Amino acid sequence: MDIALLSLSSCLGCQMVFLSLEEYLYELIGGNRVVYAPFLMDKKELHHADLALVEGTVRNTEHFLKAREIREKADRVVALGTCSCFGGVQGLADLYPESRLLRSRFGDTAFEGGPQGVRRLLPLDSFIRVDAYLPGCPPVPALLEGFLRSAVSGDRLSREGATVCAECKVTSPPLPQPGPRRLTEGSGEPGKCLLDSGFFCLGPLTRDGCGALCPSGMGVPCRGCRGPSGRVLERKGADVEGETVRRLARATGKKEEEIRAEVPDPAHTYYFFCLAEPLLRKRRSGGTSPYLHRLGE
Amino acid sequence: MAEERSILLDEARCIGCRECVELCPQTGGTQFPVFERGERVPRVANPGSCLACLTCVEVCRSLALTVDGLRRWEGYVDPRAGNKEAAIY
Repeated sequence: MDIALLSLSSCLGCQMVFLSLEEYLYELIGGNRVVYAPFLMDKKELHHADLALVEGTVRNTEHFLKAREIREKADRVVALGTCSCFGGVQGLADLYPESRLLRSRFGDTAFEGGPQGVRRLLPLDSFIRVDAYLPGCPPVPALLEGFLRSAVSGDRLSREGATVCAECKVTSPPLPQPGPRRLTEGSGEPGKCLLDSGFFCLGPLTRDGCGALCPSGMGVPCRGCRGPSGRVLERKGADVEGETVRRLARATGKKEEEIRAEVPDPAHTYYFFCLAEPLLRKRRSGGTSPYLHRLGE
Repeated sequence: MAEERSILLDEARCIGCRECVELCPQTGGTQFPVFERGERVPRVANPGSCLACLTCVEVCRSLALTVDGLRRWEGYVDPRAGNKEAAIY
C-alpha cells in the first residue's frame, strides 16, 4: 500500500508520532511504501497514494489547493490529529478578527504578497471529503498503530468510542471539595477524580482512546485534546460548558453562577480543541457560536 | 404491568461519582430504591423500580450504565454528526 503524509497548517506533532511507533514503523515501511512525506523524506511530488494522512488545518489558499490535490490523488484521505478533525488549537483564532491577529503577529508592517487567508477556520472535512478521522493532539502511538494496522489491512476505520472517564482509573473523593480551581492553584489527591476535586476536567465530554494518561497517571485535568465524545458530537442538546459547570457546582457545593463567574475565558476552558467544529456551533444551550468572531464586524 | 428492567453497570468503567444515585428519581427516600451507594461503585438494588427515564444513562460521565430492553433515545441527534462519528477512530 502506498502511504502519503501531508501537513497543512500544523505543528508536525502528529507526524512526529510516526517516529514513536518504534518496532511497528519497521513493519509498516517493510510491507508498504511511504511515497510522500515532506517532513521525513526528500520527495517533491505526489503521483498516487492509497492512503493519505493529512494533518493540520486549511489556513490559506495554498493549503486549500494542496488539500484538493491530495483528495484527487489519494484513494482514502484520513484526517490525522485534532486540528484536521475538529480545528484544534488553531480554531481559537476565530475568537479575534483577522486584522487583529495579523497586527499582533507582524506588527504594523504591511502584509502583502502572501497567500490569502481563509475567512473562517474550519476542520478539513469542511473543505474536502474525508474518509476517516484520527483525532488526538497528537494521537498516542498505540492508537496510531491500531489505526494504521486496520487501515493497511483494509478494515473499517472507526472504533466505538466512550469518554476519557471510562478509561480513567480514579475514585471519587468525598464532597464538597474546594474550587473551582486550576492546576496553578493546587494539585489533586493522587487516584482521586480531578473533576470532583474541583478542577476543570473535560474527561466526561472527551473521546477516549488516550488511556486517560493525563488525569489518571499525571494528575493533570483533561483539556479535551481528543475532541468531543460521540455523545457531545451527535446530540444537539449536549452542552459542554453547562455540563462541566453543573458537575463543578456539585463537587464544590457552590451555585452554577458562582462557577461561571470564576471563568474569565470560557472558550479557552471548554472549547480549547474544538472551537472550530461546525457541529458544535448552534446548540439549544451552550454551543460555540457566542464565542466566534462575527465576520464583517 | 411494566416489564422487568435490567440495569447494567460496567464496574471497570465506573469511577464511583454517584451522580446516578443522586439524580435517580426512584432512589432518594423511596422504599425500593433503584440504586444503593455501594462500596467502590453504586449497586443496582431494585431494577424493578426503574421508570426508564434514562437520567442515569445521560449523566454517567464514563458511559458505564445501560438500561436494557429499550431502544436508544434518538431525539435531537444530528444526522451529519452521525456520519462523522461513524468514521472516527
